[in-house]
Amino acid sequence: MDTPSDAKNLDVQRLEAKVDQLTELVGQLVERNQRQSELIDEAMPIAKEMMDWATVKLDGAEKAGLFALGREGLGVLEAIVEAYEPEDLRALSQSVVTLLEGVRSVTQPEVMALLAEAGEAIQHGDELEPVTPLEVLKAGRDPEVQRGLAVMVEVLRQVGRATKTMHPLHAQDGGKERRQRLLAKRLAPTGARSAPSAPRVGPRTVRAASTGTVTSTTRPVSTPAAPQSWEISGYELDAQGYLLDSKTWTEDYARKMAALLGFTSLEEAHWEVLRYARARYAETGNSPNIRAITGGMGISTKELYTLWPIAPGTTTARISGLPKPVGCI
Amino acid sequence: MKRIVILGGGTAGSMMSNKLVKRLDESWTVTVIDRDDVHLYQPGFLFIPFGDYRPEQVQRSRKSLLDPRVELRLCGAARVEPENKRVFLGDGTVLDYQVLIVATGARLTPESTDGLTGVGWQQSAFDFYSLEGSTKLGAALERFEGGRLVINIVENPIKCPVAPLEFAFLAESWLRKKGLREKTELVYATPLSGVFTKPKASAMLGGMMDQKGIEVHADFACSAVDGERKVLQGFDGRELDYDLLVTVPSHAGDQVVQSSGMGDYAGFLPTHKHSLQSRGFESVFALGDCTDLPASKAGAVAHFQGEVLIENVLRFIDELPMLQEYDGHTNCFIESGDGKALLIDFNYETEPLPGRFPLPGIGPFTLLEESAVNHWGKLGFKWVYWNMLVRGEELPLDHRMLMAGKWS
Repeated sequence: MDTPSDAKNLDVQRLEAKVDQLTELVGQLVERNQRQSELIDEAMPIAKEMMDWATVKLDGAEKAGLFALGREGLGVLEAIVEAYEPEDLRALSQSVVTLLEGVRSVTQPEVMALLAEAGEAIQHGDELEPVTPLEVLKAGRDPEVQRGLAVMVEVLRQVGRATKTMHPLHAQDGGKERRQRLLAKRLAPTGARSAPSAPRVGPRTVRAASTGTVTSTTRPVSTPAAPQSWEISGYELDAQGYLLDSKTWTEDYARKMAALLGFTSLEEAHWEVLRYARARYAETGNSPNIRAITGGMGISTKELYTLWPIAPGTTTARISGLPKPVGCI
Repeated sequence: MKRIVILGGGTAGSMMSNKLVKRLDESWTVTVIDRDDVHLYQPGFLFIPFGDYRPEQVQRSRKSLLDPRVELRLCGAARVEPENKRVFLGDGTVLDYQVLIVATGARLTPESTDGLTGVGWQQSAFDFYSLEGSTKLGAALERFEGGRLVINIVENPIKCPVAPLEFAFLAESWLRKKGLREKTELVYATPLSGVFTKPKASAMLGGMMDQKGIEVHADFACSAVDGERKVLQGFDGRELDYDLLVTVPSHAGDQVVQSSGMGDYAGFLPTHKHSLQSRGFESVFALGDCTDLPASKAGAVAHFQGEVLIENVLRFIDELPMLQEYDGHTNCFIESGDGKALLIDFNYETEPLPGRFPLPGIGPFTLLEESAVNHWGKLGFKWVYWNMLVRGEELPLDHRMLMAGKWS
């Protein structure tokens, strides 16, 4: 009779227990999550500090040239790997064997004793009397000196033979030159490695709008007719023909630069653009581009192109004595 | 109640709100305003056309990326009255604020170029700066059988200035893999005077376009696109034929900045270079792509700016003078194709230099030099973005650009 309600109670109890378990679980999860975010909170400042520290330390090392040295070392290793072929390596292993044999013979007890004695002689070198040519002849009669001379001659003979066998190996295929070239390239200062070429301007599909015919000129349509050299007496220009210090600009400079670019006269409309560009530069510290000029002055791009028909942005910068308008790279 | 309103829940806005709630007490409410609940990982758009990322990998719910203490309102903002320190929301609510942070980013305006969105738009002419554009471009590349592929930047400034270059490199490598390289002419038309304009970068990378056989047209200011004839026109009269045009459209600031009369000619917010306070109003700050600063429009910039901005907002509340700390620090990976990438690190004053980053001599990243490690870094960055950067966690990098590790 009580069974159904008992069962219900039991169910409710079970459910409660389950909920308790779940609550516990959720609590744990929340806690773990919190711990993780706390860990991040803790770790990030530390990581930042470590980065700051390492940045300073490593900058010092870099300034001291340690990394440049490492990079060069790697470069040399790379050059060796690239420059040597299997035959070279076999020859190399052969000479390693010879070298080891040499090391072994040198380390034989009697040779060691000899070296020790020779060393002794060298150590006490300051106690020995200087030898005159006459005394050399006299010493030549000493049997020990004679034996020593024979050994020296034998050594010299071996050296001669060795150079004879080594020489043709190098001369075979100009491999030496190739290796030297590669090594020189690796060891050259970074800046000198690749001479950059100017971006290509493909005139092939450039057409003049009015005629619609394909022009075959190779002159880049984009750049103003550049003069042979950028020189205006009394002013300092950079290599690309922009006034080095915009503060040294004068109206006289503007007229001279305009003439250099092929403009015979500057009208009031030109001067307005120049004055605006200079004012904008003074305000923002940036050479205004076409949009900044037209937008700021409230003239159309077409009008600006009537004033300066080719590259009006750079032309304005040149004549108003401002730096070249640039992108971020 | 004291309130900080953040306009925009993208990279910069999400990161700032997450940082702020950790530093402010309960008397403050941090409100983020945006139009929808889709946060896009924009660096991923580059990989979508080549099938390396799927669209679902580059989007998450904005809400899921915000600290629960941040109030998110998805009704958009209609306008700001900076003089009266209040924002009018899209649903008619008016919010008073003590501090306003503008993080509205930059928007694409392809319609501002004659003919670009006319005939052939998203059929033979695509952008890859939007999720829709990059997805459709992917489908077009699948069908591509060769011809003239022209990449064009309409005008600067643009977001992530190296992305078009990366696209060119990735396309070149992708075409080779597909056996289409021989049948394709790759053309790169830029409004700048060259692909590389800074001395060190040109010296180190100047030959890259040539080596990859990419035709470069410099100083090309696009005036119009003729979708009928498939021709890209320049203001100087030059015309470039294309079979497939990949364009980076003109950019502008957000409408709300413009309609509040706070923007410059293009709708970007005039901002102090080093403090990130707006040039017009003391209680308005800005970071990320919406500013008129001469720094790149990129997530890394927003991150480095965020470290300075959080301090300055707190200092503003405490009536302390602004820190003049933001130095224009930017760094970014540049995909160069074939599983390699470059890394550049620079600021307002210092051009990208070769070296190692972040640890001098060790790296593991190589500056201004191709390496596979850089490429892995770029791929691994997605995790860092979703889990750390947007969440306002501290990264173990200095917000200032350091000369350590650079070879000048």
